[in-house]
Amino acid sequence: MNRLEDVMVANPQHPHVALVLLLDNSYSMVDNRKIEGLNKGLQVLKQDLLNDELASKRVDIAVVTFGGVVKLTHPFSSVEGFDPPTLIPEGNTPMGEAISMAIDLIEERKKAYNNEGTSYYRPWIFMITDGEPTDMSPGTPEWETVTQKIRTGEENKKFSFWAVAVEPANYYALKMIAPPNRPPMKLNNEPGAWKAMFEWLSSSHRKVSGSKVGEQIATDNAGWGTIPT
Amino acid sequence: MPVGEQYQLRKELDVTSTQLSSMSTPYVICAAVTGPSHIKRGLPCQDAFAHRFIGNNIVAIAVADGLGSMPLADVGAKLAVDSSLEFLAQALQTDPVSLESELMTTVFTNCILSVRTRLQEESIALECPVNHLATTLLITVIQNDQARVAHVGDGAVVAETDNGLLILSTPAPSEYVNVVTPITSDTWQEDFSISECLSCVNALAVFTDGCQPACLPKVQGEYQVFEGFFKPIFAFAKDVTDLTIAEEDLDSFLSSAKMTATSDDDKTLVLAVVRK
Repeated sequence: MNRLEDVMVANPQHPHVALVLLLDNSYSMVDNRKIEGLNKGLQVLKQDLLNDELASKRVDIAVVTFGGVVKLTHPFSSVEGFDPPTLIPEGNTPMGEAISMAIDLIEERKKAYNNEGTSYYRPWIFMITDGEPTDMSPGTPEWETVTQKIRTGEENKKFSFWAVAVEPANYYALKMIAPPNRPPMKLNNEPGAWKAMFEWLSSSHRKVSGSKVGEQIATDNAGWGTIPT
Repeated sequence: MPVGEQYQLRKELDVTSTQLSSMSTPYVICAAVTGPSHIKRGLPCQDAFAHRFIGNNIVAIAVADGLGSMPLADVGAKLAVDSSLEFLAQALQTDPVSLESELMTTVFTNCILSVRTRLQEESIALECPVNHLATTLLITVIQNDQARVAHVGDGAVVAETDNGLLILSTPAPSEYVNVVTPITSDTWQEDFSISECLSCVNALAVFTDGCQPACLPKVQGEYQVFEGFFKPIFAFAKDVTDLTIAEEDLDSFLSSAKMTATSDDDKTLVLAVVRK
């Protein structure tokens, strides 16, 4: 008798990767149909991830929006449970508070993973904005606190923080907020750029689950954005 | 048959014959399979393994897992296992070294340094950065009924002893499941460990991280031996009468839907039966 047939396997969870989408739905997003690009992009992201067998089981998505108020618009769920919200532009840009909420969400998610015995990949915070923070300005304690949280988080590899600037975003301000090792990308002002960005985001998460890394590697830029010099 | 003669017989038969009328211990059964994720991406198996009988009473096993993100990781893994066993054979062939001694600690450390040097030399020959050859490395030395491990990176060693199942070496701690410090890294020492010397060992399982989810779940942050996996696996190993058939069976098992469902990574599992 082949005793290997008796071998049982433990029933661990798939490893997971937590993705917080940090989305600007301030009033200015109504211009140039930016909010439409964003809303459609969320649909693209979900569908793309669902089409990948592993990614659909491994990626957990949460959405934090900042437009007038900061809101946990969608708490963490699997890709299947992710119902892409239809965002409506309103108010100003409380970006500082939103970043802090996203960072806290990541830490809570990791605690949940540890309690469940679920292994995980390095989480992502992916911020898209067309403006600059209206709840903090350079040199203030709030600004120092938030930017330091991002730097410390990146230095200690607690998460990866990505920022995307959509015109007419204050790129200079975003560059001061983003971690030095990962300056903000500027979304190309051309048709299809939003879709391309979300497809890249989906593809990056499919890759994350694929291979062992000795250090954080940059995922390929698929041409939807540039890093201004 | 005296133990020393058994070892000599096993060495002679290592390559040319895999069937004995009865399996004299120690013997080693090995298998490695390419993971579905690698097949999908057109990558080769980036795991490597080898074992060697040394002197009269030593078996050395080396297992390595090349980093999937690196283009020559399979080359690095193979070179790491081969050069580590070459080093150990030279270090342990003639002069006796007690496995639990400080001298053995030095041998292990020098072995790792030697492998790093070989990888560096290979990178120069191939005109590539050394991290293109990035790999983990897990070395197990068995001497009589004792075993000890030197370990850089992930993968693990589980022993069946007179006192039950024990983890002899755990994966190096890492918050993230896909992040590991390879032997090529300048910070390799952060993920380098040498285990205690374990006695009364009956059998050992040495495996890469592709097997971990199936047999070494993490509960409340601690790795735990999953008996449902290891008890039948060790029973299988002890029942072997034909190495070729056993390795084919082990290969099929690693490729099975049961194992693939736990991980799509490459999987290597080396089973050593030390005494029955």
